[in-house]
Amino acid sequence: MKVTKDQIQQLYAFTQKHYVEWYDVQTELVDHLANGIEDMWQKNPELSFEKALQIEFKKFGVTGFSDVVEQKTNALNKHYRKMVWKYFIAFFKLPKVVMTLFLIWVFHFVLVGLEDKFWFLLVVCLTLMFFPFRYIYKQGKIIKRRQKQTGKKWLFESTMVQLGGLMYVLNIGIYISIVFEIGEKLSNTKLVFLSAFLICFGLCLYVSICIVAPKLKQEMLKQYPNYQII
Amino acid sequence: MGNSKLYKGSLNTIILKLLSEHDKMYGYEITQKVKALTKGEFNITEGALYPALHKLEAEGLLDVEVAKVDNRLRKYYKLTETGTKETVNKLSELADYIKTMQSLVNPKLA
Repeated sequence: MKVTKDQIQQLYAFTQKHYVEWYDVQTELVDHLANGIEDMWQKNPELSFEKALQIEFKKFGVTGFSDVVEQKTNALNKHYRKMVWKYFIAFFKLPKVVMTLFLIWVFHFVLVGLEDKFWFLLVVCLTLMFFPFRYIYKQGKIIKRRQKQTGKKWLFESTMVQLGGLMYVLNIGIYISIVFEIGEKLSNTKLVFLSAFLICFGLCLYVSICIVAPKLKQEMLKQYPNYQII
Repeated sequence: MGNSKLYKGSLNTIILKLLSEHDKMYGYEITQKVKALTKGEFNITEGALYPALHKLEAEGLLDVEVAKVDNRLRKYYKLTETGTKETVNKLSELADYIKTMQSLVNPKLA
């Protein structure tokens, strides 16, 4: 005896009811529950779908699906950060390191040449602040539109919007007081450090938003053909 | 089943070993395979299996493929190239561990 199409939809609703709102996580759990139910039906064909489902769900322990969701979120965040690190570190290896050093040199050259560094640093910081905000806003709209069209939410998209947890670190607002404090001092070593920091910060944002996020989308599309890139 | 805590530390190695012997496997299949191989001695709990699989996937040791089977989607796991190399390392570590434990608990056999 096999689980029917309608019962599969009931299983999706069941996972949703048990706080699994992500389609990519639900899918794996639904298949697992369906397999378990079918195995039980082989031994006891009289068993009702609801009863079999309760027995199978109990196997997930007292925390239900929450451990699976939590660990999956952690694993996805880790995967995202690993990818960011991989592409970021490439900017410090040949041939890209030449470009990185050149950017730091140009930034430092401009900074040293300016008498009033405040306005320049303000524009740079606002740009670095605007870039991720614009990304979050755009992605949020896409996620909402997709959910409206398909009724599905994807955990990996939520990971992408938060840049795998890096969003909390890649917020220039945290460092802004230090940036202006150093920027106002004329010590050359400090200005070199500041130039290197801001260029690396910008590169990290660029890698996270422009390289890793699209790659993760492609990975998901490869895994789930029913995921559509809007 | 009372000693499942002893097996838990080797869960990743068990998963990798099973996948090295099969082209691809899905979660439920892994639990049933382990149950059959150990004659019910070791039951991988669902709450431990999926976090382990997701962790191995995030580490780049497993690749994922989703296929439609019957009337639902099924997520299959298979070893990546790195995963295949890591399986060899993990099995060797486990063999060393077993040998060390053997010499501790049963010096005559070691």
